[in-house]
Amino acid sequence: MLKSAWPPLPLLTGLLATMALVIAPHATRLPLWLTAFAACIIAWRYLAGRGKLPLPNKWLLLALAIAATVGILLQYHTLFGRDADVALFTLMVSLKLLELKNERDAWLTVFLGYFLVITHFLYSQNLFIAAYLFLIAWLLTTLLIAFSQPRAHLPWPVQFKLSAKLLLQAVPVMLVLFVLFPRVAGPLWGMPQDAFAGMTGLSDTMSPGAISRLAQSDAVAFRVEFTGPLPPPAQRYFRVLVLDRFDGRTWHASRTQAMQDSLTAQGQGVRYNITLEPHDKPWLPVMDFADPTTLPIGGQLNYDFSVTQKDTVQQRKRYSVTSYPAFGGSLSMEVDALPRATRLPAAGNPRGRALAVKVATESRNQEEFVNKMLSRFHDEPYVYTLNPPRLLGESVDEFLFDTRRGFCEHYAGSFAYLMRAAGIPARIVTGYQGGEFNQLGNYLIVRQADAHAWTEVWFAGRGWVRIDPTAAVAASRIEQGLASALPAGEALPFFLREPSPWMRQLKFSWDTLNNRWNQWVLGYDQERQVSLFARLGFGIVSWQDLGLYLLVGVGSVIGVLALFTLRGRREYAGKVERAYATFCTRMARIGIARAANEGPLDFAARAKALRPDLASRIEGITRLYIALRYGANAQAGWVQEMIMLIARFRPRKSASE
Amino acid sequence: MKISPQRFFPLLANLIRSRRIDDGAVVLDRKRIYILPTRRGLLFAVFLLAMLLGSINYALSLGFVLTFLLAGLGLVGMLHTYRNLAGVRITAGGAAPVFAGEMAQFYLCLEAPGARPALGLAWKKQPPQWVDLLEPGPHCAPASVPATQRGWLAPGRFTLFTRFPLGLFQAWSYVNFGSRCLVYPKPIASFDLAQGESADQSGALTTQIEGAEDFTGLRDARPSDAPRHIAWKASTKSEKLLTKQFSTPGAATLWLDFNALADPDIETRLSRLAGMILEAEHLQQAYGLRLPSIEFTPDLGESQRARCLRALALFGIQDA
Repeated sequence: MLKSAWPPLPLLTGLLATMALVIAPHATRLPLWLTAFAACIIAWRYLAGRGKLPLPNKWLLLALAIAATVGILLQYHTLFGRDADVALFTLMVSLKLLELKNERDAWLTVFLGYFLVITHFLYSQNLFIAAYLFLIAWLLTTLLIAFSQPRAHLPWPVQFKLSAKLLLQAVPVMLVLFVLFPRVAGPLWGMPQDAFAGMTGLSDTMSPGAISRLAQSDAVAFRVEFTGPLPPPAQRYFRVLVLDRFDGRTWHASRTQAMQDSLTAQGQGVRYNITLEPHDKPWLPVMDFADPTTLPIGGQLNYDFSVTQKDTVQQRKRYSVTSYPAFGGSLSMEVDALPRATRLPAAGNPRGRALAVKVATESRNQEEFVNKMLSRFHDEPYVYTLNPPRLLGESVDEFLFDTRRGFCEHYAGSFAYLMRAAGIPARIVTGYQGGEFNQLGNYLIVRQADAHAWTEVWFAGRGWVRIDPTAAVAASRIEQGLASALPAGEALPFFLREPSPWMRQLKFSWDTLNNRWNQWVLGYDQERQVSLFARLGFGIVSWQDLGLYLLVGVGSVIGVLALFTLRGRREYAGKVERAYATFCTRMARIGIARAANEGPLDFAARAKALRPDLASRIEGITRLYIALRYGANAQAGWVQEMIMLIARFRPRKSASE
Repeated sequence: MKISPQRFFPLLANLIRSRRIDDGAVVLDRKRIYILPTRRGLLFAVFLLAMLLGSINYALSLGFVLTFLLAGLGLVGMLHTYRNLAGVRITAGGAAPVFAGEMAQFYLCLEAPGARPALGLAWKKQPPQWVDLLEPGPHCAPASVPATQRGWLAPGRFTLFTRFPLGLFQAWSYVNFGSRCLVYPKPIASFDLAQGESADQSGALTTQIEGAEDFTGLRDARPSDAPRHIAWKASTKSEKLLTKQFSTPGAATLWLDFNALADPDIETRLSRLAGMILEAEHLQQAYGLRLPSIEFTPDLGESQRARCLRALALFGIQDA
């Protein structure tokens, strides 16, 4: 067991506190035992620094490392992947603290600290994390400064100030590099399987309760900027998926095929940009009905009018599309789409089947049947609620006849079931509807809470027509959003409650800021980079061009900084001159101004004659000034003394006062 | 860890090594300041590269921000390291004579127009002396040079370096004021004047000294007494510390004679004589020194000591 003598306690405390801060954001993600383990190690190192505990020898260290690695292996069942690697790295960094014995270890620890900060970005890159980045960089840099002084240490405030100054000077270099460093598309090597775990969003199935669960989340799904005016809510149906296979409880998506037919536009086109949050699924939400010729590169319009791409969306994605909301309905489809859209399980939900058959026989045509079914939702006591009762057995029957309380997936699902029971092709569309318009940023925020499910019914000669049964139950859901449609007294998720006007303002400002951040900082990729330079008039830049600009840019920034830094050749002289200038200003204020050609001694003599009451102080200040300015051997502390004397020198207008 | 230019640019190092002697004061400017990354700086660059690759792979925009901020920090740190040396004014401060085997302290006086913390002053690979220039006015600090042999010690150039503020770069400069330090022979204390014990090989001196000092008795010890005069054996019996008293007749003079010594080689004789001078000074016994070429009449005190030791140091050396 070794006793630790290095580093000195204040430095050690600073290092440990900073490292604790570096690890802290992982605390919520790491298993509890590992967080506790890291905390114990930091505490141990601190106590060892105070001489209260011995440091472990290398065998104990090795044993600890192996034990914790086995723990991680048991926890994650692997040592590879994002979470396991972050856990391992955190563990090793904390063990390094126990091993901290000399300056070299301390440097390495600070470097590891910088590196650890980057692992937080795998989980979140919001504005708070950005602020945290700068805070940590400041603390770690201060430690670097402290460690680069082998003997005396400057006072901590001086070191903090210096570190802030260095970082501020580094910011222009960072900006130049950030803008000009050539970006490449796609990863250099594989990403761990779990790199994008835990993202919220729609899935490719829908069972009762699926969307009402999603509606509890205020996470942003995507933001939309419309080139023209904001379309009315009734048009704001953002299609994600079409589900046309029903197994008695859950609706599933079929494999879709790319649209082969050419389409004719109908009505006015709406052009918009979508910034999609990553959801780790291959689909891209678009407003009904997307023009296939305006799709982003890699995007594909399918027969069911959903848009997909080959890979899953793992980074925030920006794309622009033109849609035609007035497009009547599509006749295009795969050959087996209609048979698929009428298929039902052989048995189950008999009451619903019977109802559909009964109403169908009473109706003259398909329109009447559809309207009768919608009226049933409207007229009978159906309740639109975010907290529907759980459906256990025959979910359609239970909902239609017993509970009568449901969210959009209940209405859409049972409606499509009734259609199919009557032999009418019908399918479920999931996506988002509505959204909240941010007037400050002039864009629409669509959250997971805006997730919605509706149906499409096949009308011979017209094609697939959107029917939204939720509108029949709670029309205001479509027009005014979820919060207004829920029955009074239902507990709303916090974010859905109607905020006070200033809260609303604050919310929108914050979201606007986040949107800009997402667009310009986080979304600054190859595409953005190229388009930025094109817009600035550089044309299409290659990475060679960027490299050249980069060198020139960094070179000029460093040049300017060098001028600034190296200019102050007479630094003490500067301080002394400034202090003396203050002195002269204060003398001038009491009516004794120094003439431009008057030497300090002459000035002092004249001033002393005019104000004998101030003579000794004038004399003292002038002597110090001359000694500092012209004397060969100025003494330590004189500058401070002079500055202090002048700071206290506040003469009044006349001696008698 | 010190980075010497020799390791990086052997040719350049040859140019630098030209034995230019600075006279008066040296103000460090860009012609005199060299700067290179330290090993830590290179390690930092490796970390940055790893962070850059990670940021590219995972498309971490904030990763780019952090990496580029740190890259900027490194560059800014380089400027500040350079600046920490720029404008420093160096004057030679001299070096007090030392005995061979000791460290000679060559003083250099540093002065700067502003605060210059953590400056290292070193000679070759010797551990540096750290100086913090935080106030105006010159600050003198010694650079240690091992004195191996008697005569003049001319260490040549000294290195003034700094790694402040971030330790990622080292800026350094050489100054060579051609200063030298007198190195006395390493004293050998085999002959104990006080005890009157004769070391057999110094027979020639013994006779002369025995007449000079007679043991006359014991008195109570005073704090100022040298430990070797304490009669330890007698003290154990009397419960009080006793000091041996010697009578020193004024007429008796102590002659330290080079030719009277029995040692075969010159260096040993010089060392022995140096030891005797120290001993005589310690006992406050006037002494004279006879060397083949020069003779110093008996005397006592700082100037006698310096005179005699200097003669020993430069014995047989042309540049006296």
